[in-house]
Amino acid sequence: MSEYFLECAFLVPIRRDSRFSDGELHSTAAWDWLESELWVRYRGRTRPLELCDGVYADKSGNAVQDLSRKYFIALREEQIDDLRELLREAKGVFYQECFYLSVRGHVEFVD
Amino acid sequence: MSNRTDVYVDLKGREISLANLDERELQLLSALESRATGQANWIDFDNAAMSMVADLYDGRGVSRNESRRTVVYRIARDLSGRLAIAAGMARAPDYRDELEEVIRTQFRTRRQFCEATGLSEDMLSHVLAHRKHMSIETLVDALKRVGYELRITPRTNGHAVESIHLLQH
Repeated sequence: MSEYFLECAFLVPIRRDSRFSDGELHSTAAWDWLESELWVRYRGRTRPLELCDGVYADKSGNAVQDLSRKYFIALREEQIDDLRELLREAKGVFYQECFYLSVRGHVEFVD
Repeated sequence: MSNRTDVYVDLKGREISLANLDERELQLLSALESRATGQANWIDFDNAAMSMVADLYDGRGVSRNESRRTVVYRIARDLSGRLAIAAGMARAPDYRDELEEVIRTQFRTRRQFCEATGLSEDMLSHVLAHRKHMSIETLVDALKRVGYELRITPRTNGHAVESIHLLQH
C-alpha cells in the first residue's frame, strides 16, 4: 500500500502586523528564514503564483485586510505538530498574532 | 551582482566566491540568473529555483542541511530577494533584521542576548519591531560584547540596502 500524506496549507501575510510592529513589508531575511526551514524540514512545497487577498476579524473584532503567500505541503500525520511548532516560531519572525493553517480542510489558527 | 565573473555580490554587499563551483553548479547559476532577469514573477522564480537546486543537490545525495549552505542555494535565495523587492513584495534587510538573525542563530532567547549585551529587553523589542532606532554608540557597544562589529559597505546595484552590516570577529 502506498504511503499517504495530508495536504496542509498555511498563509503568510506579506506585511508585519501593525499592532505588534510597523505594518511594513517583511525583509528578504524573513522569507529566507522560512524557505530555509521548509527546505530542511520537508522535502517539498508548492505555492500558487498569485497572492491571496483576505479579510478577517482580529481578536478585538476589528476587520483586517491583507495579502498573503499561500504554501501547500504534503505531510505525514506525525509531522503536523512539527509544522505547528514552525508556525509558532514564525510568529516572532513575521510579527503576526497567529497563522491560518488548514490540515485536510480543517482550519485552525496557530498562536 | 558584480562585473567580475568569479564573484557574486549579494544584497547585503557581501562577496560570494564562485571559484570552487563545478561545471554543473555554474550552469545552474547561469540558468537561475537568466530566469531572474527574464521574468519578474517572484513566486514563479522561487518555485522553479528551489526545485532546480533540489534536483542538483538531492541528486548528489547532499543533505538539505548542507545544501542550504552552498553557494548556489545562497545565490538562488538572493536572486529571489531581489525579485521580491523589485515586485514591491519585500524590503531589503537592514541592521535590525541582521540583529534579529544574530539573536536567532547565536542565542537561545532575546533575554539571553540582552544579558550578554547589556541591552534592555524593552528597548530591543521596540528596535526589532521597527518602532525605534538604536544609537550607533549603544549598538557598537552591545555588539562588541558578543563578538560582532559594524561595518560600512557600498550599496548594491540600485536596491536600497542600509549600509551597516554586522560582521563577526
